[in-house]
Amino acid sequence: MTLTRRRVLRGISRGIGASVAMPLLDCMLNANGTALASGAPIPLRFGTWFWGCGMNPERWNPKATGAGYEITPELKPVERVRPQINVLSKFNVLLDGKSNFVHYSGNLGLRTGQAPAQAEQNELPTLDILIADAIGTSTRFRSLELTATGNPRHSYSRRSTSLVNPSEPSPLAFYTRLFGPDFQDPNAADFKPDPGVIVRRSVLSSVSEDRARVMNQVGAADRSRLDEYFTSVRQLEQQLELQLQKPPPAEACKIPEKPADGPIGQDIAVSLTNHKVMVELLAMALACNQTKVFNMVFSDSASSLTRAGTDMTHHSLTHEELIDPQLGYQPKATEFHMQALGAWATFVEVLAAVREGDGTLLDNCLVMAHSDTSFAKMHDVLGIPVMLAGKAGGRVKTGLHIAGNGEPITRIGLTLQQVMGLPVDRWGTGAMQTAKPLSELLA
Amino acid sequence: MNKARNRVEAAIAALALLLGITACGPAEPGTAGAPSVVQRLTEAQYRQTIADVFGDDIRVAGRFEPMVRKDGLVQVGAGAAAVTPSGFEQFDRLGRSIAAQLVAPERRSRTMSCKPQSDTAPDDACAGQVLAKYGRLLFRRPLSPEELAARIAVANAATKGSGSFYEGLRLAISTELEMPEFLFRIDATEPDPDRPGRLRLNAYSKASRLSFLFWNTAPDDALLVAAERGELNSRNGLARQVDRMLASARLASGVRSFFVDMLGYEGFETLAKDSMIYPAFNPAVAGDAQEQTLRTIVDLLLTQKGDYRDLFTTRKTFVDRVLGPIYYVPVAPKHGWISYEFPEGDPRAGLLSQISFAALYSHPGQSSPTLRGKAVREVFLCQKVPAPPANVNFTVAQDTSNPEYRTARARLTAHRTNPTCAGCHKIMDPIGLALENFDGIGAYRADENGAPIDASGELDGVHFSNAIELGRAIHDNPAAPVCLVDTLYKYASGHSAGPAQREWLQWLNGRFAAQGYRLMDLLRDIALSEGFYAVTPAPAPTQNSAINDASGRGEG
Amino acid sequence: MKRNLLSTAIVGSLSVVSALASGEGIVASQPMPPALVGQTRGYVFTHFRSSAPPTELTKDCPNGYAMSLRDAFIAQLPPQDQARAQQVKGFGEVASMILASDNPKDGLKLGDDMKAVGRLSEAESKAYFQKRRDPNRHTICNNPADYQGVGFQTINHADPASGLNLDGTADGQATARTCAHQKFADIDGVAAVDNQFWRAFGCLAVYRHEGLAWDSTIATGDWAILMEVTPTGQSGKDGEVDVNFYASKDSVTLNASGTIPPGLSLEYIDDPELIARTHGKIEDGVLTTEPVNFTYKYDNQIVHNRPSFEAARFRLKMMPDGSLNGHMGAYADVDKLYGFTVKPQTIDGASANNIDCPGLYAAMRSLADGDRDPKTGTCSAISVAYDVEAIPAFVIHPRKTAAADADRGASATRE
Repeated sequence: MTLTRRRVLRGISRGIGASVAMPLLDCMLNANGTALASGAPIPLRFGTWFWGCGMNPERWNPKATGAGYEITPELKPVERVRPQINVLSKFNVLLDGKSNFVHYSGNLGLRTGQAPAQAEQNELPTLDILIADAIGTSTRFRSLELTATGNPRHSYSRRSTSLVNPSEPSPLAFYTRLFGPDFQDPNAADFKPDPGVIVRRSVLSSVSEDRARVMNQVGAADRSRLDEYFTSVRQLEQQLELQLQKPPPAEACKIPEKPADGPIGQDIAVSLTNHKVMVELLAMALACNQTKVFNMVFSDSASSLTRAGTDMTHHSLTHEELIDPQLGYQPKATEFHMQALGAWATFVEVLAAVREGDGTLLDNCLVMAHSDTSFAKMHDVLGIPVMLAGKAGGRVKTGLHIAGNGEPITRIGLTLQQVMGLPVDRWGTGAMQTAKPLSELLA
Repeated sequence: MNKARNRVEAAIAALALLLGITACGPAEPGTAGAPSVVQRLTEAQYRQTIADVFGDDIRVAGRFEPMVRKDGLVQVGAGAAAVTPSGFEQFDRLGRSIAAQLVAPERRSRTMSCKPQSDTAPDDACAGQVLAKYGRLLFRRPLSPEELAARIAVANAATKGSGSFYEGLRLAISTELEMPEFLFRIDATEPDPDRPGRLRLNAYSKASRLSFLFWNTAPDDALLVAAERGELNSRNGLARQVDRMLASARLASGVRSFFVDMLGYEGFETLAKDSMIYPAFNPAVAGDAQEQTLRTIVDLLLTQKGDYRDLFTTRKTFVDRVLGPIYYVPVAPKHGWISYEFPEGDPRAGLLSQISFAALYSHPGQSSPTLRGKAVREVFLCQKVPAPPANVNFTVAQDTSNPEYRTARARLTAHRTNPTCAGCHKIMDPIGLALENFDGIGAYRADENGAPIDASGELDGVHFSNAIELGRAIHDNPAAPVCLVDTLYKYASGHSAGPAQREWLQWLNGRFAAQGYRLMDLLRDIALSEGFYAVTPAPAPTQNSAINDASGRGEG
Repeated sequence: MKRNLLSTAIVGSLSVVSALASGEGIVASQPMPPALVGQTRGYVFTHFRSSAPPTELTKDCPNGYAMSLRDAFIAQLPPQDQARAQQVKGFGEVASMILASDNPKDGLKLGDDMKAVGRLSEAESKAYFQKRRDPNRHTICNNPADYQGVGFQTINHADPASGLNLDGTADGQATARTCAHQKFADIDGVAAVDNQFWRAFGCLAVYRHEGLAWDSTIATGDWAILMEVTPTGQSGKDGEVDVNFYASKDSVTLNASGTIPPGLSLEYIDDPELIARTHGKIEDGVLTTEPVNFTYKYDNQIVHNRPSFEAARFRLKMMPDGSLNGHMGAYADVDKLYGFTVKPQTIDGASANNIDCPGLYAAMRSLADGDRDPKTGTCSAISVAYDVEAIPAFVIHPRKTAAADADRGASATRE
């Protein structure tokens, strides 16, 4: 099949314009063949949610496993969403003899399946990239990255060290990007392809015309970066293509209100507010099929969250606050991660509040929440806390506690990729290589 | 040891002066160079290029995805950066918005020197004129006939599709702003006729490298003409352009960009101070603090043509009313800057005593001798400090409510006494402790929590008792000027120097010292050297690389 | 931000902590170094308002607050009219009521609907309000002497109150320049305090410390007073100083915590009326100045005044943290004082604060203790006390022009 989308559109845009019903040719679907007609199955979405500086293991890890696990003191903030989540404890990032790069090795080890060899460097892509490569190419956005910290550098969606998807820190900018002038309402009664978009689409294709010549000019090391650039161009072309087609109706999609242009930053009060606004927008972005993959950062790995009146960040407190002899933990530091866990519960609730099909939006999602350490004071990468939310369209059970008992944390990542339909039977390198998914999770 | 070395250096310089051979000295050692690295334009370079090519009136309103710092410089990170999907969305939006401003009715006569025959039909000749003119400046080389034909075809088709010549032209211009030839600096090489078997950058790539180093922007028309005429391949021709650029007022902006990168100023974007502990700090202070330091640098190094090392000891700087209350000096004009010299005996001298350094390398609610010491080592002496061990227990000495440990020096005792910590901390803390008279936002304090501050320490064997003496110790430390040369080379070429360039860098360092550590002389030496433009070949493409597959990843 | 007035506590000494600005912040702040230009120390006043000592209402005003104009008027109506008069609430209507009873033709009508006011253009609206506040119209509060006050309560005790000893006597007996009056008792190291202003105004709710709803408008940047202190005697010794006061041309800027930071640079207004030069001395950490005529510039929303005082003297404690804290004591001409306190808040002839203007004015006249007319023996000025605080600031001298140079005398500015 040699007819490409590009050629068809060129033919159409020359000379006419509006009101052309685009024929939907099979060859226009990508290899994953996500159907676009109405009546198609509700799409599966995948996401990650991150908070920095872990928890207190002896207060977070439940002892009982299965559905009847006890709500420990530090699981209290998520008790209200217990039926929708799974708690995964005591799975380890194994460093394989490499150094423990603080607030980095745990996080990236969990997400790439490989302990990094150098600080701030990763060779392998994070699993959300792998999943987005597989399922994200037919939506307007391949993936969406958000942060409640106000800093776009806080992103753990990385193809490699310098290929980092920046996070959107501003609720208003996020809204504009999603629901601004380029948004196509899937539930709009009538649809006319915008002739301006037709022209733009054809113009944009000329940007990558010389791809072969450019690639020949550069060395191998640079080639992958330029490849990423051309892929990004293609992604935008794809967005425009989608804008020219009537999107399938999405019953749960309701255009949200424009948020206020408020402050962004790392005062926890500000982060909590912005997090809530962003989650609500994200929920609608998912319901309106703008993307299938997302990554949310509540606080960065060396959590720079602050609270008005304390002179130390969350991270500094984890190191410098004394353990209260009566309580047995660091009260001020703990307060920060308890708030983070509460924010995670809010996240789950917001997604669960959107009705979709016979259930909720959350039922059609699979979200992994995790941190970069277990006990942050010691930068411990053993037993990094992980929680899952959503039933992945019925593919996974919820309401369970699964204890890893020291097994590699890549078992979780492997399971997630398999649930999302990736043809992968093993994942991880070195001591973290595994071929055993978590069958207890599978429905 | 350092004093002896300084005396030797001074003797060499004096001898050189005596013999009138400062401009000559030993010949440049040959070097094969290094592989050229494709660098993405930084935000500053993008903005400056747009302003230079089109004019200051064009608004560049958009966000640029952040670049990762690599090897201590954002410019080296540019050599590892790509464009993510959301990043390209932004570039597309920017490209269309800039192009829209250019063809807007009130502006188009300034943008274009021709008029189309019809407003609603294609005019390849006129479109071609505009696209060739700006394409050359944006791609930093003339467009080939095929490239130009392709751009004209885009304008033509878009004009037909939209029914408007100017809309078609707008979209064609926008593609020039989105193409890799603009967004990435891709070097072209050619065999070096003077050194058979070796490669050099072609004239346009030379022009690019020179222009980004000196002015942090794309080559201007005069430089491109010189490249076209082959003048950049002759020493005199190159020197003419180099001297023109050194004499220009734009040199200051290029030097500023270098120091903004070297000093890590993007950290200010996310710098937060606790407003209860430091109520005097706000975004205006953060902005003006950077400006103060940059003005100090430009004044000393360019206007006064001074010795680079004096940046650590100079008492001359600039102040405005925003910074006045923190430095506690009177500022007469309500707006704008005054030059100010701290009096003899004042605790402040040099960059390390300025607000920008003190505030950037501190915590939100307290100063940090370790962060400051680390910054001195890494930024100014190019000495890497190892990362702390993962299982370090900080609480041993971090009880700030302990009346025993009222000053940072007391609290950091464990850094010095615990053997696991001391190895690294002894190379950082003694430096930072000398700056403890400047609190977390750079305001002066004589004591902390009622206990007097002891600002003594040592750096590589040289002892000092306060910040002034620390400045002098850095001034005298041989690593300081070598680090500047190293950092400037990294910035200029987009990657760290390799072992093959060691000898060449040593030569450059020798010249820097012999000429009194003047930045402009160093820039001139780099720009006129052969080593700067020498490149080794890029590794050949492999058989199964994706290059041969025209469809690439993710395409239907 | 409510100002903590404990710094003027009557009993006991000032505490250092409360002397620190506003008491906010969780960390003890560093002491403020002097803002030195050569030998001169500069200051900006962060607090400058008539004293409102934190004394008890029951002691100062046994009958409660001074009656408002409205209540006072109603109180003297025949009982059968009182209930009906109680219905009148708006201050403009109160004025109408009073004026109408006196002279029906003179009554002001508040006819305009507030909604209509909202539809006026900016210029029209400005004119409308100017008319309502027209000081030349004949109304109760513009012409208080023409009306009878009704039982206006003043403070009559001799207990401590803020201020300075202005007439030099221990008991308030008449002198060549002053009239006999009651003194307040010693406070804060000052014996025999003259503050007749406080006697007159002290039972008005809005002038008492518990009624203060607004803080210094210095912080909003509308105005500020600057001061320079320069040793004239041997350098380095507590002793003789030259003291200059100026009105600031520049607004102060605030910290993130809402306080005025030390070390600001502020230029003064080059207007001789707003510059006062005098001498003083520093002894035992207290700066006192010799009497000088003093005028400052006050701007607050629509009010623009130049309050002026005669024989103003300052007594300022030099606090360990580098700030100054104390009082100004001075005489103010009664009519002028009435003009920059009560008149500006007059709308439609009545005081926006419901002050019994005739009563207050009469009290001021009878309590006046300064500027004695040798022929009649009556006084036309009244002693006042201000609470003041200052922190170090750099006083910037305006750039000299040729004309300014010519005007200036021997005491040329230092730059």
